[in-house]
Amino acid sequence: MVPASRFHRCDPQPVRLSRHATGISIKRARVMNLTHRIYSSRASVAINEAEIQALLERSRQNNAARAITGMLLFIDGSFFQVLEGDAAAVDRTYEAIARDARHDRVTQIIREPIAQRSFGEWSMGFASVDRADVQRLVGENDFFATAQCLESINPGRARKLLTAFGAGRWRAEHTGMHRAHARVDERR
Amino acid sequence: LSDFSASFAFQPIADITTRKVFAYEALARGRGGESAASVFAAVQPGDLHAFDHAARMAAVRLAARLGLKDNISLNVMPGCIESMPDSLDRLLECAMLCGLSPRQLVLEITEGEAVQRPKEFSQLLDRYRAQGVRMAIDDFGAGYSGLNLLAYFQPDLIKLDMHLVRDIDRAGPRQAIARAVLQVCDDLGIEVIAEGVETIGEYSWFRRVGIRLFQGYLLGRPAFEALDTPVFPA
Repeated sequence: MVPASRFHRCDPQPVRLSRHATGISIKRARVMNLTHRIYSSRASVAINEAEIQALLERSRQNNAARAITGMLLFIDGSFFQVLEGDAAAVDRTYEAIARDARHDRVTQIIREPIAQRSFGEWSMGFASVDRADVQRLVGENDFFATAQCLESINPGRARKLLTAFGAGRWRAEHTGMHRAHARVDERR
Repeated sequence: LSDFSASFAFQPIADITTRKVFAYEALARGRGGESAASVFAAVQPGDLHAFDHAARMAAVRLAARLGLKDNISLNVMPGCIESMPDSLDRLLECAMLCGLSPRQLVLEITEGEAVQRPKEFSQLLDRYRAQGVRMAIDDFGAGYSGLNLLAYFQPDLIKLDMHLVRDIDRAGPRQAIARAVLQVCDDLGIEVIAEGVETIGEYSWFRRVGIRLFQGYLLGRPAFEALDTPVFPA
């Protein structure tokens, strides 16, 4: 878990989003088996913003070389990432993440072929939000109402899932608990 | 339609947030507007798959001729894809010849049929998803194992079964089931269509829980060989 206080944000926007140009036109690169793989995970150790930035920088370089694009969200200790590109390249990247000791509870949500990329121009978009921001955002219908550059994302599955994650789904601390024990107890 | 003995009515699936049509579902009708049941009753059992294939092609041609700009939702018998493996390739070809994009096609498969061999089925459909075709599970929650199906196959859309929709505003168990389905669909990025919506009470309940796509008499009846505009309840 990352304590919110460890999050040093230098800009007052509720959702800080960086769009990172790939330098090469990945959108036009021909990929045979275009696939996206979407997962959530939990940071296994407290990770600070500088460490996330370093991780992002490395992943952006790797992704650009493999023609992988996508989006990474980090909210209160939980990661959510969309990887898109050639199926084999996406799978290799995902498997490396699943083995990475910094990720805990890596959970694949979706892996499927897609007709087009949702993040064609981004080697890895990134947004991080702290606990106070989440409290504000969860009350809103559209998590990304304030994030202008996300409006251009196709209204497909990747965007729906990003929104769901923003609203608390797939996050470590929001696991639903079963509470209906009363009926069973009565019969004892 | 010359070599096809039947015709179609089109019913709008309305998006209440944009107040536009999301798609028109093509429903088989006789040449004189006779019911789907009477159309299918006239087909020999051995010809069902060929009929199913020809129906989709004819529906796409008719919709294009009527000036379709939105999506078109077409029913698919999974048995048809097995007995005619090139059926969907030919459908895509036909759609493009008519000036439609694969992205305008939504294929509806009923839950009961999809559940038989979900893995094979999902692999088959992935081929078409890669071309932008969207998949919907029809009659979701009709009593087979719909939720289990989602472990193997995550469609783009599901259509809640009419029996679950009926009187939902007054039926607690149906509300509980619908909420559970909505939660699963949110978690998997699947959009839910409320189908068979007939009353303002049903409509209001689904709107309150965040449903955006509606189909039913309340918004628009199937129109014979026409693409009618839906009515948006106040």
